[in-house]
Amino acid sequence: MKTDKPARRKLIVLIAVLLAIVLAVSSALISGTAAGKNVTQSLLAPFQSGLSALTRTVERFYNYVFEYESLAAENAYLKERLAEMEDEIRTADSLQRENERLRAVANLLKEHEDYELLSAYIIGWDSSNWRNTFTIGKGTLSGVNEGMCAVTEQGQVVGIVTECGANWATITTILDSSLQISATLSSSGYNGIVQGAYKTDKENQLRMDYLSTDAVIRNNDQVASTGSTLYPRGLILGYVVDAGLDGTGVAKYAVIEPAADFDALEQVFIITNYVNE
Amino acid sequence: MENQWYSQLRKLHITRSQWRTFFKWALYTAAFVATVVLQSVILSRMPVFGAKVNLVPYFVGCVCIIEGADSGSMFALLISLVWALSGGDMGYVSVLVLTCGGMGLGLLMRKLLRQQLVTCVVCCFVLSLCHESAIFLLRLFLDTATAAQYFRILIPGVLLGIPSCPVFFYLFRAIHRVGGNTWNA
Repeated sequence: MKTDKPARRKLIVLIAVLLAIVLAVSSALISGTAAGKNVTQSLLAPFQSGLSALTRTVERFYNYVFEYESLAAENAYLKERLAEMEDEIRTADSLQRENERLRAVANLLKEHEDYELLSAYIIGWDSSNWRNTFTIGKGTLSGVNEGMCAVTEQGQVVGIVTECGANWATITTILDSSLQISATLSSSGYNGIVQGAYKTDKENQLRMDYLSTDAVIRNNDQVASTGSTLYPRGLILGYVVDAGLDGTGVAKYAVIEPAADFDALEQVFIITNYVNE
Repeated sequence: MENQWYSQLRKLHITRSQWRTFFKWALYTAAFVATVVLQSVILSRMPVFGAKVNLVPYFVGCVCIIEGADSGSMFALLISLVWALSGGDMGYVSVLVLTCGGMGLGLLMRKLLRQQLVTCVVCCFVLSLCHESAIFLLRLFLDTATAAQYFRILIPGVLLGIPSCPVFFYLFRAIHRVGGNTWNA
């Protein structure tokens, strides 16, 4: 029996309206990842992983072929510089002091021995212009859970795991306006809230709000996390590039350049465990 | 008794033309998966003029133009649901706008327009603009976007999808020929 076509069209529109309502209500009510989304993402994740790995291989091959000559020239120059430096090490006391500073950096890294890191490759970026999220190829099976913090290999904050499936997880980056992180100006100790600066012309910058009016803010001041149940204390968020009084006139704000290079991001490290001081 | 079973089994028999129709929709589905994966892995990593492209509205528009309002809008409903579940921004808006928009395009093509590349590009552009504008308006309402971003980000993002239209149009015309409109034949 054939269905009347206008009636069928009405049915399709009705189903679309009902589905839209169900999805809207469920996304508002259900915190975490819905079962339907988990299944769909779990099925798509292997395809994304495959193409992502293929893209990385092609990029490496491209770089090898087209940057070989410049790399060879750079290599020759670096060898020459290395010879000069080795000569200087033997004679100059200044380099001895530099060596000591490098040792201090190594000691600083030892302070974060409590971190348990899990490396993960990015397999997909969100195509929306209004969100800044990406998907990694590891999920609950590898020990990733919602609320965990993602950092670069240098300990710069990338974002927080907001959704998690069996073999995938979505990380909302600090550039997304929905994410707010409590932070401090390392030089002066003033605290504020950092979030994605979607309301300025530069979407790739952060904005630190609620700074005291007597806060001393200098260019290139380092901004670090103050620590919470989600992320440890002292992780670098970025550097101040601009500041001013906010619209209310009772607080200052600072515009921050993120420390992590999001354009070149390929791999992130999830802090799966740390000691909360 | 045996005759009854036989008549029941005969109902399960799928004709050659029905197989071809199944194959056609399987090809559309494969093309959709390829588009979504390509978009999330490669295109979303490379914003042009600060805007990212969303190919899904162009994909839906082309399918509805080629397949017509009924089959096209049903397919649009299913793939927009998959798109919403795969993490598309404001997925519930996509389900509503893409299904109704796809149906509208199908009816428009049947009654007023001819199935040509130029009309396909214009119609898909309008559908994509409506889709992105609906999401933008909701974000504006939720105070997670500013009005200035409409012309600075949204319009370039929609325009960036236009080059995909000829690819979809000719690919889907070829896929359409595989199965044709044979299900009710």
